[in-house]
Amino acid sequence: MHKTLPSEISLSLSGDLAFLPLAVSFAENAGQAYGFGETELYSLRLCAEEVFTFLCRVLGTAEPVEIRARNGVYRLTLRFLFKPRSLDLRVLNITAKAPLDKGQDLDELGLFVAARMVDQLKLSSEADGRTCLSLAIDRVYCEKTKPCPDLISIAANWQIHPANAGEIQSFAALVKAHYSVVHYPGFLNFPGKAADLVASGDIKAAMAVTDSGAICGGILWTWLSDKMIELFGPFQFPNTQPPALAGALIDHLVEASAKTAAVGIICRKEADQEIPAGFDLLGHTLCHAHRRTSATQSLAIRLLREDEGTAVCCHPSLETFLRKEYDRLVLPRVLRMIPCPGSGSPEHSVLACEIQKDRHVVMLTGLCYGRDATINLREHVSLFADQNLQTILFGLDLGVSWQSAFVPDLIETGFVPRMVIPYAGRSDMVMFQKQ
Amino acid sequence: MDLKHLVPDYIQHYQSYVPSKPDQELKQLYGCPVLHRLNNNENPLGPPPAAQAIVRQFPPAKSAIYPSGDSYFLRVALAEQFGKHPEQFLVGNGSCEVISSVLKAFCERGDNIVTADKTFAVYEWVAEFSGFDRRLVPLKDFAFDDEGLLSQIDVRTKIIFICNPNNPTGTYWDRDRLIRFLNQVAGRCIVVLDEAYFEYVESNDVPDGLSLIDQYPNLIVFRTFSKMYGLAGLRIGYLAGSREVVDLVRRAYVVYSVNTIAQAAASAAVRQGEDHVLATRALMREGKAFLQQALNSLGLTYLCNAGSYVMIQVPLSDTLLYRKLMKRGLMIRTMTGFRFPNWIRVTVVGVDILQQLVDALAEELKPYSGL
Repeated sequence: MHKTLPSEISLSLSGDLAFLPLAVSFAENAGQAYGFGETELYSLRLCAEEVFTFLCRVLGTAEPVEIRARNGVYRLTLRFLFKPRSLDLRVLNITAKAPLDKGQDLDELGLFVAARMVDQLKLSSEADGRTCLSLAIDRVYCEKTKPCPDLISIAANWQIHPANAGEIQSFAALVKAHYSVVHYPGFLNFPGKAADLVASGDIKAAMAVTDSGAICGGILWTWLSDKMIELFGPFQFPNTQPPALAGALIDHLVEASAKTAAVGIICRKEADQEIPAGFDLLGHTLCHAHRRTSATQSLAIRLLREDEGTAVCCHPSLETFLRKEYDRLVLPRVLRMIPCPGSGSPEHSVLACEIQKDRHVVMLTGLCYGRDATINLREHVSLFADQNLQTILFGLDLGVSWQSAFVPDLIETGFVPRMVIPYAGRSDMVMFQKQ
Repeated sequence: MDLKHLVPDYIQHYQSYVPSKPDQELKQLYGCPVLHRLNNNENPLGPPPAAQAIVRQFPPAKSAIYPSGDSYFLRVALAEQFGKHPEQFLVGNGSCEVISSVLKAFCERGDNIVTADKTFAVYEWVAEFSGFDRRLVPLKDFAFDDEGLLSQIDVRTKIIFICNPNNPTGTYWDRDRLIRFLNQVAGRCIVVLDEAYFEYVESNDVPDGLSLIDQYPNLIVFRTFSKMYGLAGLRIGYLAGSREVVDLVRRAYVVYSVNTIAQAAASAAVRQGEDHVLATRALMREGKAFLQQALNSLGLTYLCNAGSYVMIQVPLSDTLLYRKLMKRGLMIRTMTGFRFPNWIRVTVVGVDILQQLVDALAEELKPYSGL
């Protein structure tokens, strides 16, 4: 990779199929310039072709489309930004098919085709009013790990310091050798990817190292949003290291995050793992990521600031759940009851989705409420079930009043509220899961 | 409109500090009819009686008149009290304002300041949002590490900030250690000695920075009327130094920033505050003795050093304990923001309120420590 290259480049053009070769060439050349291999370039070409064709069909030729390619070292993200002015918003549902020209007979046109080619797909609304379709393709990495360093005995002294890319490879080997695959993030299976993640800054890591230079523990974290950090770990080698080491690693992370924009740190733990000290349990979800049978996963949070309370929007059906959860979490909240939207709502709803292939998770959010919400949710659930994406979540932002309208449709479709995540949206977010 | 192109990079990446909501709002949100403020190290006795009289008797008509632009009479009072020249003092709208003036006077792009990682945050903040590098040295045994600070000095280091006693740990350098440090700095950069809690220290070994400013022209001493003198609501603090150094800071100083009542009340506090200091110190002794005994009974680790506060380590997240105590009408300061996760800082106040705190701690911590 050329270090002097800007991390993001962009191309602005109008949504006209005449520019299709240009759009495809932009994506491919960006990937090439950023040092991605032939396998990734192939996916980039197909994905750019599919998405740009889709946008041309649904937007119309006069509408500008901006394509941004961002080099994240371990992944390349293509972002298509456009204003859905004259657009029938329904086509942004991942379940939708683009309108076809007469005589064409294509069963599958639309965003889901693109979703199959990429590692992550996300549709979101930007602050400037544009819609962003973001597709990420991960670099292909070798799974071969470095030889696992010998385990040390119980460490009496250690120093914790930020990890460098070299250390992270040894750390990955230790984690892989001593932890079950369900207890660590998938990228640690690929030491090169882990090193690139650290080098790109997308993952931060701190290592606990003994006086003799042996790694006896470590912790990883990433920014989930501009307000929330997710931690992985802490990991200890051997597992029987004193609890003080785990505590020290978490303290290191809390201290490192204390004066940042983060309001909280969340962690996911499997049913057989303990929630780290100082974290408050938010709730459980059923996951299917690593196994055919479902297992419970816990989510916990460590808030970093003195909570001064806020008002949240509440549909009457959620009142009991929210009061109970806020009371349990000792979070001061004023519930602003939002009445049902009635017949004045638009006809069609639009759902944004984020598909995380490695975790087999789909996260839905509402982009626009409509009277067809129940049907739309059902269609989404059905599509994901067909693709064996069984962990289907819906995030309801309690800071956005119109989103409350989704609550009866979610319940009708078999979604249940699992937890409230403080400050995960504009305000708190209720996480629903499809039963 | 995108204004980002107008904003320096260091401002774009700076996270603004959000102060607490007003007590009335917090009481409503947390459902507590009374709120005891144990979070900001305010003096529970309020201002000295002479300063209270100034506030009570302030003629409303004087509100229409500008104050003295450079707190003339207060500087005269300070000079008389400490045996210095009035030109050796600069008064600001709280000591935060004078911190800003010192940074503006001495630092330019590429310069750095050196301080501790776990201390009063404003030195770090002002440096950061002014675009200067800040080098943070870990505390050693909860105290400023002189060797560590010295090791960070380079040609672009302009200021070293030392909080003595340190907020929040209450540790302080004695006179010998400070003099040794100043000699080692040897005039290479400005040394700011923040003595916000100086008046609380009863031991004889604490250095009086003002006694050293003539000997060390690169030494600047900060003091405040917000703590011992109970004038936090009026926002007034000052710096003192050699005439040469104060003249330099004055060039980056905003005049007329200190209001008339604050200047007059502070002057009264300087001239007639002695009994108040003694009464506050007695209250601190009583409160700290009570807290130490109670915290020992609860089996909690704590730091009870100089200053008007005690730091306590708790077996749950400090931010959760904050919320639990708020529901009981007790507002403490979480220490995560000071990079001390799971510690809280409690202002020492009257024993009656401290008893409520201890009772609340005993109940709230029971599930965590088998108390």
